[in-house]
Amino acid sequence: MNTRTGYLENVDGSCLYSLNSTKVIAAVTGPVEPKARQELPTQLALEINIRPACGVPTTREVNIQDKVRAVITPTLALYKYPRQLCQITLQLLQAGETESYFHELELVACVNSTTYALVDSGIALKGIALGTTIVITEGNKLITEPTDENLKNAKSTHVVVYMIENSKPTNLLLMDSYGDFDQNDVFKVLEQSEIKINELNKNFREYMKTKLNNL
Amino acid sequence: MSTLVIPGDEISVDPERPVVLGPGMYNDPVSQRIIPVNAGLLNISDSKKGQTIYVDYDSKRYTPAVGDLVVGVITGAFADSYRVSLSSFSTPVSLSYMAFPNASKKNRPTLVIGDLVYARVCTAEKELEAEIECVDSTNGSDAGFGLLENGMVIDVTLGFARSLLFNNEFPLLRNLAQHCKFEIAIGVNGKIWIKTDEVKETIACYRSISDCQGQSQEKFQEIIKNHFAQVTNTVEE
Repeated sequence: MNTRTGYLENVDGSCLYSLNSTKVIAAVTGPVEPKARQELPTQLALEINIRPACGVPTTREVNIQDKVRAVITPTLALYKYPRQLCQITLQLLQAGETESYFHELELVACVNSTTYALVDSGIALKGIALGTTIVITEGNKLITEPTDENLKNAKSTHVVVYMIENSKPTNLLLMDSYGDFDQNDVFKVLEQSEIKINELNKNFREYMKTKLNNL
Repeated sequence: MSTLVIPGDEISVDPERPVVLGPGMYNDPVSQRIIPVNAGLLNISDSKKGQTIYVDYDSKRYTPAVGDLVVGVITGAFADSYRVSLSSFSTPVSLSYMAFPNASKKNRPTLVIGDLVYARVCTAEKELEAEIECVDSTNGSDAGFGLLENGMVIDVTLGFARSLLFNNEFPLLRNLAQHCKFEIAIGVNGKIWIKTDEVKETIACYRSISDCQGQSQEKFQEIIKNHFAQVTNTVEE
């Protein structure tokens, strides 16, 4: 996984994120003045736009958008910014997966890059959201951070996003699974993803530490 | 003492004694937990009155806080106040006609749309429009506030603006002063207004300040020297 925050000049927070062959730029602007129809009287309004690597946004991107929104909303301290707006724009540079069949890798890339960009922007967060993709192969083996090839040959695919508070995954924000699997598989996936998320969290802290030391 | 904190980290506070929360800290209204909401260096100071906690972090978007010195642009004029923008796309703040030195009902300030002002934030409630003033409200003097004429504005990050304004050890302004005379107004909203006698000096100052942002202090001298050399070496025709 490779991240670089502060990548864009003219937005408040940004992050260039790449994992294997998935690549995305996240841009965060806020808190800014909302349009009248977006304004919420007591809390921060959220606008998320996802631009695909190729072509115009379709229902597929709206589906990813909605999932990202569901994951990011609980991490924000919404009531700190009444009648304000936070704009998140995600531009995919490389999907890294067969777009007509899958969206798992892009979803995780969007969630993780948004978290980095939000922290970069200085918007108040109650915790951070980090996620990972896991596939179960025909031979019942678990693969984290799969490639497009792994996805195609998988029996089932799973996206797991945790909320991290005080360096521990405390809250399961999203579990999005497709394919053929049973209860046991789900438990195995959750266990495996928790290990991965802890690792991602460690990387996140390391990144923030080096960033602060460079100031 | 300062340690790195990430949003959501546990902070140890003495629940028996009063706690004052500064920037980057938040008391969650539902769980009543005190948590940092920004990634940065945690500062806890303990005094007899209580504990003060804040997170030192850098960002680009300014949210008004009482007492802040800011540089704003007039974007509108109403019957009894101006509308002032402190950063692009943020909710504007208001500057009352009565918040000027020697103000009275008949004596109106003469600012027009597009003018720059140096002011102090006097009220900042998150539910309400923030207000700024161009007068020291304790004694009614102008205290250096008011219209900023000519010059140029540099947009910088909030952390950089704060170190320029509050850190006396910060060498940038002293280094700049070795090359030219200048007037400067630093707003903690990340806007720096600078005015010199000549346009080329202004340009050199502008470029120097922009480029010194994010660089180590040892490099300042050289960056400034290069920019001044560049503007003085150009031949005027």
